[in-house]
Amino acid sequence: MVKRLLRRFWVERQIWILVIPMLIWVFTFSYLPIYGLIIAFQNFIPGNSYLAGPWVGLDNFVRFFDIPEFGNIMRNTIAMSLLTMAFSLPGPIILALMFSELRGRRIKKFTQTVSYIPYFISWVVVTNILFTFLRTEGVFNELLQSLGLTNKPILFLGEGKFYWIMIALANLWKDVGFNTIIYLSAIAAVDSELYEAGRIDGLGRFGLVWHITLPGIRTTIVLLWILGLGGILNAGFEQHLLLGNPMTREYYEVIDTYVYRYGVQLGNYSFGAAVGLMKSVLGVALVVLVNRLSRKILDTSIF
Amino acid sequence: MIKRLVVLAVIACIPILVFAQTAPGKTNMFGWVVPEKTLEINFYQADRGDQAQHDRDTQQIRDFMLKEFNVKLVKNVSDVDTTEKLNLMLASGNYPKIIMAMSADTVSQWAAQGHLYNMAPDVEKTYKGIKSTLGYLYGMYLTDKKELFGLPRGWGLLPIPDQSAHIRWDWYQEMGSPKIATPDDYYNVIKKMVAAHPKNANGEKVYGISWSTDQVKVADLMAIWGLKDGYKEDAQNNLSHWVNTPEGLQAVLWLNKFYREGLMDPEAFVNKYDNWKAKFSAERIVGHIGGWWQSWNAGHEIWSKSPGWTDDKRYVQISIKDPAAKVAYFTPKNTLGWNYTVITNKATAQDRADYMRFFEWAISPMAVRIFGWGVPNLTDASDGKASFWTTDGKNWEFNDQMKKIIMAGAYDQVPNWNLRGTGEFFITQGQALTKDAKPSTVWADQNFNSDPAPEAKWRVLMNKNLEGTEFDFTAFEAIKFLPENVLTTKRQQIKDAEYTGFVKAVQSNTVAEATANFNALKATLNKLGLADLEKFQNVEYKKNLAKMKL
Repeated sequence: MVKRLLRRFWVERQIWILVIPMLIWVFTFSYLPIYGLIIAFQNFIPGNSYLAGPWVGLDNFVRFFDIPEFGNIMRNTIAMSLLTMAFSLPGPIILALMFSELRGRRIKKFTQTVSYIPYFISWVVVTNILFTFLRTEGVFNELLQSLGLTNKPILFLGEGKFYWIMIALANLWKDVGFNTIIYLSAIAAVDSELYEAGRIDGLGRFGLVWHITLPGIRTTIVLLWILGLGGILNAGFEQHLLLGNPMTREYYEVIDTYVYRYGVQLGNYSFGAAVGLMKSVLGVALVVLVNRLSRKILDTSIF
Repeated sequence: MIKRLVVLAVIACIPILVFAQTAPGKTNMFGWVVPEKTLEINFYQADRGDQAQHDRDTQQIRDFMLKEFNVKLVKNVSDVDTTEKLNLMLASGNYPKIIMAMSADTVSQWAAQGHLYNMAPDVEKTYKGIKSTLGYLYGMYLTDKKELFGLPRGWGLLPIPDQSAHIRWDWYQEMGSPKIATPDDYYNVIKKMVAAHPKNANGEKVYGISWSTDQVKVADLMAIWGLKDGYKEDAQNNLSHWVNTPEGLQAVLWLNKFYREGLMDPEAFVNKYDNWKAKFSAERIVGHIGGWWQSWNAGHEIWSKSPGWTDDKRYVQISIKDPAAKVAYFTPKNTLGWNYTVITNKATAQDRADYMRFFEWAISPMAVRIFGWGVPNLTDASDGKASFWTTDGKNWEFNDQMKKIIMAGAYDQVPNWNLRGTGEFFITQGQALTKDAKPSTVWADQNFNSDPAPEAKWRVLMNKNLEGTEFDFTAFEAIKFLPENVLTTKRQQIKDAEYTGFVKAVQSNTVAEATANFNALKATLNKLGLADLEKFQNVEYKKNLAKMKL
């Protein structure tokens, strides 16, 4: 058995040499720190050892459900995640389809590269752009007024009702280009003979997209959708701290900002760890559930 | 005549002082026994900061300290949240031997876990200068077990005002300087001023009042109704939060009037500092409530660089008070200081002895001047590097040219203003007047508050207008909120809800709506546990008051 394993390792040695550093990295940074989750079940005080804090069971989890803002925080987190998904799931697919339909190689490369740029811009810069754009004396308000759509400026940055959609659109603008990469590679993998057959059968450009491209990348779409649902409790972090203000606090506070301000900043690490663990468990549970549903309904799943 | 002779004597000594270097083992002219081996004071400062900028601004003073004292100062700062940074240091066990600017709560937390050195035996037996300089405050820093884990920074009472109402002075003069004593007077003047100047030179709308999100302090407003840092104090020293007082509602309705009348910038609670400053310096805001430096920085310090600027085109700080209030308590003072310098358990016995000796010297009057006003005796004024002051180690004088600039607050006009390292190393220095023959305060610009020189007239006017608005509120400010205290979280929840609810009430469209929003805020805060917070604070406040009387 051992001999067989060693022989196999020797045969595949080039691949193992490439993989081993990555395995070490994953083990060190993704698995080793898991032992720290023990503090979620203790009253951990920074500076003491991990086992020194008194055991409190599920108190830190219960505490999260007991906080007065719990309803608001969950509402904001889920609403912003779903809104972002509503834009960010079809957005890159549509853009990737448009890129793939472009004929000129140069224009295709140029537009693709330009679309990736926002992804690399930090939220500090993005929120400043949004601030300048959406101020009462900003470009957007001036445009609305010059088109006669409103007769007085709207305080977009100070009204909670605009906050969610503003964040969802900002997420879309920032990530849409970069997220096309995976769809573009999926589109490239679709058999070109299928397109030729489609053309012979009389399909137009839209027909080809609908009947060949989209079914061809269905697995990728479902995969990303399932993984996206797993992150439904991750509704962003720094963008809220940067763009939120007292007037929009009831709409911007999400799980991560709350945990940062009340857990990390106030030194309640146990509380922060408990909420983080709860988020992860719920995320995995959602992925499993949606994966099952997808297998039953769409006959496609990731595991 | 005597003053002139002293000045001449000091100036005559400068070349000798500049080029002379005290030999190791000898006492230098500032009373410091120069160590044989360079003493390194390498510390983390728990203030957010830019390391590169700090390195540039401290180069001169670091060189000076190394040359004259054989002390190598190494200050480490970072641009991350300091509470988070300290907690991570604590959790990882990776922290330096000295930490400065640690909050009282954090000192207690670290000390409870045995990470800090108890300085009390050293201070009481060997380094007695620290105890005698701190005077009656010393006892306030001791724990119940008489331990001393941190030396205060910025301690003592500096009787100068910080917060106030502000008015655009030249336009106020233009109106004939009508009397402003009450909030209603202020509102009426602001309203008339905006009516007289509805647009700025670029045709942009002018507002009566505005802030940036980091400037809004509800307590500044409540001060006008006689509340102390947002709390009303009764004869038995019980403190009630402003939402639980009739004055709180009056204050909200007063500010709401600005909003309803279109006198408040609609982005008053949305502006980032740069946006607010841009509006302010573009002459779009005629009034302000907040720190005096805010309207100085965004007002005349910018305008004075333009040709044709006149001296009275600026903001002047004034006090306004509701007629029913005894005093407008604008500026609460914490005589315990801002935060603490600590020695951690990473320091060896030799380190601790060296550090304590340096800390004792750093609290002395001459050290206060060196670290407060920067390197002395530099005469090269060509690129703005001349010192603020000259000294022979015993006597001192302000440099006349620099004195004029400081009095006029014209810092921006001097290139390389920051290079002297002023205020960069706050180790154990206080803000109170030094206890020597010619007392002064650590802030260079606060030494001329009654100076008859014409350059000082605006400071003199500010201090006259705001006389009595600062008060000692140490007993309240010293209340500790430790992470394990359930009220620490409640307090933060109350603060968050308070701010949001306050803004909602102020930006209501009718008086009835503002009143309803105020009542809703009151109900929310009380539901969050405000009564528990008030109870805890009252117990601690009274304890501290009793301690201070000892």
